[in-house]
Amino acid sequence: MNKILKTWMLVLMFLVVTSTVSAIGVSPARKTIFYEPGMQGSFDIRILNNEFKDMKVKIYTEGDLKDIITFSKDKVEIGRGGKVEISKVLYFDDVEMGFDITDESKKLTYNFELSNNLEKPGIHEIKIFAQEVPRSGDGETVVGAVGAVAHQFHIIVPYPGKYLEAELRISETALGEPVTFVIPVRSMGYDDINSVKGVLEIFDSSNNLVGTVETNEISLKSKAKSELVALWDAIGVEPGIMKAKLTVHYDGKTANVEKTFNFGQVLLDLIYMVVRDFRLGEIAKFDTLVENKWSELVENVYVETIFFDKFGDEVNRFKTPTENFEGGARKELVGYMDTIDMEIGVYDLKVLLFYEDKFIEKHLRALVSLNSIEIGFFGATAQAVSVQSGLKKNTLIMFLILIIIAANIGWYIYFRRRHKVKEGKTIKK
Amino acid sequence: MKLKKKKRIKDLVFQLELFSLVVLALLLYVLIGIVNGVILITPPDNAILTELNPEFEWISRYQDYSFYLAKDKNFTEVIIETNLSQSKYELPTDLDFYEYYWYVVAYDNKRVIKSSVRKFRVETLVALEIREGVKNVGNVEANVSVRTKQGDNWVNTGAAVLDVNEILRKDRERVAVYIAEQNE
Repeated sequence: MNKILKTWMLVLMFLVVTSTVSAIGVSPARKTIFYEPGMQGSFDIRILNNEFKDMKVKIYTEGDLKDIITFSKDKVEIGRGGKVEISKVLYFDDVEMGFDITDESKKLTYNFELSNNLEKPGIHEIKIFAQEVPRSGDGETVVGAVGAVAHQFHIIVPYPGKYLEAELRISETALGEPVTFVIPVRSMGYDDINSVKGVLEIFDSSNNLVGTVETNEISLKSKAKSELVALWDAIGVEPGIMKAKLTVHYDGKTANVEKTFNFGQVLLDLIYMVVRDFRLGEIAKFDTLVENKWSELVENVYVETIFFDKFGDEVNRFKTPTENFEGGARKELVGYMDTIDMEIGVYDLKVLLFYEDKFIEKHLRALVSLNSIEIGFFGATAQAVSVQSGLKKNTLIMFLILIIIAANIGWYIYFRRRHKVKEGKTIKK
Repeated sequence: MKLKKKKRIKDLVFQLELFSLVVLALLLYVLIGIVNGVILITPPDNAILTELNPEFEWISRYQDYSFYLAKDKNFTEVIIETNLSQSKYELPTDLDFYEYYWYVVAYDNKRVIKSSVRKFRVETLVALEIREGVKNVGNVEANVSVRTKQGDNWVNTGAAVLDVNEILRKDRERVAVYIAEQNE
C-alpha cells in the first residue's frame, strides 16, 4: 500500500513540476486609510497559490512612500526548559515566500509607520507586489510568462473644505435589460457634504446622446463613503461601445468621470464549426462561422483550435487566417489540419477565438471517424469547475453517531464475554 | 506485575469507554439541535470570502424557510428577503465588497424557528492565471501591465484592462512579467 501511495505521490509531483501554468493572487486587492500624523499599524494580506503548486514568491514594494512598509514574520524560539518565545522579525525588502502543493494561500503581514508631515492632499499609493519566481532547472532559467499581483495600500490625505471623488461602475447587461450604473463616492475633505447627486449622459460611438439619467441623492460625512445608483432603460438603443459622462454635484461643486463601456453581450461569438467532405489521413477543412454581434468593426479576428486526446495530451492544432469583421457581420473562417497521424476516437477541443488583443475560449468535443469529424459544444466556459462533496453534512453526523454507537456496543459485548469466561473459569474451579 | 498490567489496561479501556460515551452524548445533543433547530453551515461565521456569489446552506428537518441577508447586524438594511422550500440559497446577483449578516427562519405549522445570525465579509481579489493567455481570475477588473527585459532593465511595454474572466493574448516571443492590480 505504501509503495502504491508513494508511486502516486511521485506521479503527482512529476505533473506538478512539469506544469507550465503560472497562477497567483492577492486578497484584499486594496487597503485604504485616512492619514493621521504618526499613525502606525499593520494589515494582513493573503497570497494565493491558485494552482496548488510548488512555487516561490518574491515580495517587494514600489511607490514614493515605500520605505514606510516593513514585513513581519513570526520567529519561534524554544529556550531552555521548553519555554517558547515568539518575536517578530522585520524585513524591509526581498521577502521570499515558499509554497508547496498543499498551500492554498499564505498570510503576509505588513507594518507601516506614517510620518508627521505628509501634507499633499489626495491618495498616496504604495504597491506591494507578489511575483512568482521562475523555476530554474539544470542551472538554466525557465523562459516564458511570469505572473505577479499587486496589493495597493492607499493613504488618503484629506483636502481642506469639501472634496469628493467618484468612480463609475457599469454592470454587464443583455440587450433589452436596463443598465445599472453604480457610483461609489468618497468624501475626502475635512468638512461634511450635505447633498450629493449624479447626472449621467450616455453617448454612442458616433457621439450621439442616447440617454440621460439621474441618481438618487444622499449626504456624506467627512471621510465617509457611500454609493449612488442610476438605472438606464436603454430602450431602442443598438448594441455597441458607449460612453458615459458622469457629473456628481455636491454642495455647489462638481466631480466628473467618463467611462466607455460595452453595451450588449459578448462581442464575438462562435456559431458553429463543421468539417465537410472528410477522409481520415487527409487534410481536413474546418469551416468556423463567427458572428460580430456588435455594430462596430472588430479587427484581427482568427480562430486557433487545439485537439486533445483522452489523456489530455495535445495531438494536433490549426489556425485560420486573420480577418476583419464589420459590425453585425457573419463570416466563415477556414482552417486546415493534416489528419495523417490521427486515430478514430473522441477528442476534446479548445477553440480560441482571437480578436484585437483578447480572446474567448470555448470547449467543444469532436468525434473523428473514417469519413467524418462531428463537432459539438461541450461547454462554453473555460472556468475551473469546483467539485463538491456529495456527502451532506447531516448524513456525516449521522454516520459518526452510528460509529460511536457501534463502538460502545462492541465494548459492551467484549466485556460481557470476558465476564462470562471468568465466571465459567470460577465455576469450574 | 501481571496483575498491575491487567489493571492498567482495564483502567484505560474504562477511560476510553467513558470518552466515547461523552462523545456520543455530545453528538446526540447536536443531533437533537439539528432535529429541532436550524443549523447554519456555509459560509462559516466571520468568513472572509472572495466569491461574489456565495451559496448559503443550512441543515434542518423543516420544509419552509425564509432567508434574510443584510448589510447591518440589526437588519435595518435588508438586501435579500425571500421564501424557500429547500435548505440552500444561491444569490440572484453578485454582492459588493462589504460585510454582510444573514440568518434563516424555519416554519413548522404555527411554530417559527430562527437560526443564529452569521457574519461574513466579501474581499477583493486580484489574481492571474497564465496558460495560452493571461486570464483575470480575480473578482475585480484588473489593470494588467506587461514588463519585458531590455538589456539589464525591466521596462513597461504594454498594458490592458481585463474584466473578470477576460483573457489577454500572451507575448510568446519574449520573457514577460504580467502584473495585475485592481483597476481604478
